[in-house]
Amino acid sequence: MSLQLALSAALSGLRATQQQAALVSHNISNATTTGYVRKDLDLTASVSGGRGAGVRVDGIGRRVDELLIRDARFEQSRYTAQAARASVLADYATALGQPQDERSVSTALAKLQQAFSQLRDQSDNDSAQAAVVDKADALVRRLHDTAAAANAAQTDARNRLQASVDQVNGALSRISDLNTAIARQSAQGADTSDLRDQRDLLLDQVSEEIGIRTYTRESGEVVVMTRNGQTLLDRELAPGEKPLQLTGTDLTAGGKVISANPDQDIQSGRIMGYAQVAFQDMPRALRQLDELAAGIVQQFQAAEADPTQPGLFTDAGAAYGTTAGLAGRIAVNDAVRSNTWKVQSGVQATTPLAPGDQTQIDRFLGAFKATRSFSATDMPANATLGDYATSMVSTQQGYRTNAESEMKTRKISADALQNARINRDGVNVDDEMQKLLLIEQSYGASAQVIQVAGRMLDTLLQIGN
Amino acid sequence: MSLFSAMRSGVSGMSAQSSRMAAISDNISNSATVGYKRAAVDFSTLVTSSGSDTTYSAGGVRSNVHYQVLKDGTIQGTQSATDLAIDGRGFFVVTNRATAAQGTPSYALTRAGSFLPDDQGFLRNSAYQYLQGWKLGPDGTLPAVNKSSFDNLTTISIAGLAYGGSKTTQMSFSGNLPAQAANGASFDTTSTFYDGIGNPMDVKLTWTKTANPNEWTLSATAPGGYTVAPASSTVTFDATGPNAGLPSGALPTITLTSPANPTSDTVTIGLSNVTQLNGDYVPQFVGDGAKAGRVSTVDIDKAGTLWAIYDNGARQPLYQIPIADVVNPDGLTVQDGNTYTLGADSGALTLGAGNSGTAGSVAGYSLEQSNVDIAEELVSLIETQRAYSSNATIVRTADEMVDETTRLKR
Repeated sequence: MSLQLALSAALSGLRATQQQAALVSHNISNATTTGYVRKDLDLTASVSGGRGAGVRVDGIGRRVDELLIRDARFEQSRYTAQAARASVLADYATALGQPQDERSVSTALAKLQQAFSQLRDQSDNDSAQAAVVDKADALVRRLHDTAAAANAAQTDARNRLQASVDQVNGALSRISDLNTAIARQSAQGADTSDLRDQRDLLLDQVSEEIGIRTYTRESGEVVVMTRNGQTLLDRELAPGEKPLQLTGTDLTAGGKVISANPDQDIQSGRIMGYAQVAFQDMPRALRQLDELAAGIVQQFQAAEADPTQPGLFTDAGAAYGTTAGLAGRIAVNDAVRSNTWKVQSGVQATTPLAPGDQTQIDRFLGAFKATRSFSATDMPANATLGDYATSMVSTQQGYRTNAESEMKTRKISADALQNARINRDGVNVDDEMQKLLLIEQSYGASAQVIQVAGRMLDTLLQIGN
Repeated sequence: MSLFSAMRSGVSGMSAQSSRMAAISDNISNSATVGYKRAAVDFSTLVTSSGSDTTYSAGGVRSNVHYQVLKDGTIQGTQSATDLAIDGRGFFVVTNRATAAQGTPSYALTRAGSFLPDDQGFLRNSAYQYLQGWKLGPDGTLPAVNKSSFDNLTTISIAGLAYGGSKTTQMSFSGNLPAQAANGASFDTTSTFYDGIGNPMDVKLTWTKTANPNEWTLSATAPGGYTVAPASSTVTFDATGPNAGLPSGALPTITLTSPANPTSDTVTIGLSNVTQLNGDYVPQFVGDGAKAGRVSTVDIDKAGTLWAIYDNGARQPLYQIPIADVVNPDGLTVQDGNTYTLGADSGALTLGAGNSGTAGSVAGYSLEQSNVDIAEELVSLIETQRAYSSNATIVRTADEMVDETTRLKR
């Protein structure tokens, strides 16, 4: 009977508008919730038996632009990579100082050279000799401190890398749980939109730590891979399973070492930044420092009578051995401390030269002026000690400034995409209020239909009387 | 005498109208009964004497009752998956007994589909009639059944559906291989598939760049016991021309074969949309199948297939609910509980899937309301009342006339 149809259609309208009102209120209350995506009620005209029968609620719509999300995540992860790198490098750069700074290695080296020049004019002056020993000590201290700072930065980066890896594993295991819940709920036809919000939020977190690619299976489960296709999460993780693992200096994803070639295999995210610092920048900086220390030890050793025996600078008391780690071991020969005349006569000399004899001092000064070859990355192949030191300090400062300027560029594009994402997917309270007005009117109209249909039924029953 | 026949005719009219009145009252009282079909009372004339054109002898009226089984009621949505309605022709087959152990079942047809599981999981409607169906084979196919009798039907039970999984049969790989990769560089992707008892298994595809330009070796690593054919194959990509970056020849298909316990399963890995462009390695490796899961709900599709839905997202067909049809549904014999049995006028019975042949489609989450229109019944009520009064007037008038006749002689 059409009148009954009218009643049931109006009732379906009431039910749908009630759900819409609930959804609008959910949207408004979550307007400022991070990761919340605006929900809409999907309505279609209900047809049964070929006749229209009101409105049917198909489900809750959550329309996101997967491509925009992908781009926003990628830019964000490229930004966090540079931000992470810059933050660790900034700590090291503070300890390193600028080339012209009082505390930098290059200034310490220049001061030692200056002390030798002054000694040349007053070669038997005790205080000038003591000044040379003093400056040599200062240089060694600077080298030790800088090497320690580089090692500290490396350890720091490694620790933070471990923390990032743990965070990724934790987030992936929660994504795995959500995958299961989403697959189950969507099989039952239940609403999964809020679970998807949570999962997207976790994916955002993961992508800040490491660049990811994702795709969604038909069942609604998401597959997470690194930028270069190493699977991090497929279907679900076994309890305690860790897709990313840091063992020694190797970071492995899905059983493959990805830290060996981070530019290809990691590409972005904090893990990229920390891996670059721990496995690339700091080893490089330490190598450059070690080369400088080796240059100093070898040049002064060569300035002595017997170039095979320890000179003014030693490798922990002995003659030059290996370059690796030398910046931490370099020391001033103890022989000059008790006998400061040795800086005039040569560290290996047994008797002082005559006062005013500048031959050995000239040889020491020659050590500063001679060009020698260096074999560190990013460094001049041939340079004097002073030029090398200056170039090293500015190059290492350059690592940080590069990271910082790149971070700023990335920040701009990451913010732009993030804003686009929020504008597209987020809740606009004005729109919601407008929807609320429509809902109110539509609810009233449906209720009116029910009243009228009720009166019509009354009329029908009065026919008999 | 015609006068008495007129009085008799009036009485027969009153009797006919009272049956109609009874039918109307039944229709109105069942106007909210699910699957109720309205009873209609028609009238036909009775002629006692024919041939004479000089006198008229009233014969009266005879009432015929029939049920408007073919007229569909409104289908309304509900919240239960096992509320079923048929959109179009056809009936559900039900019995009054769930199992043969409870006695010989008597089969009947109904359109009242408000089924709910009883304490043993058998689907039963509000008139205590059990829904019948054909049990499907493990692979979801319908075994050979007799489609013109009730012989192969069993009572549908949705209890005891504990665990189930579905094995993987198809997987597909697509993606991009980095054209800039050095010779000997290899890229691999692992995906999970499920065997027949729901164990997750890993299969790994490894792409290795060969020394020849644009040529890759594809090898698959299968879990223990499985054999891979082909174990390794070569894929070459065009570097120039209209198909630059696309495979030069047909892409291989890899088949994994499980150990035979007693017969082996195969998983086919198809390759499609594989490109070789300068960029990242971007694989996409998906397959069907699902791990073992618990039954969370059941769903009934248009054809009347009852699916179990597992909490892992897998679906499995369990029963085919047959839609019964007869040549003349209006000729079915009406029984208690909105059911009908085959009658002399109904014609032959056919059973089949819904949404095929003459059978209508099955709609889950809906119920067919009665096909009674209250307005129509109320109007009939008024008509019946007037007709009854008119008949009574005939009897009264005939009585008065007979009285006149007897008063002719004082």
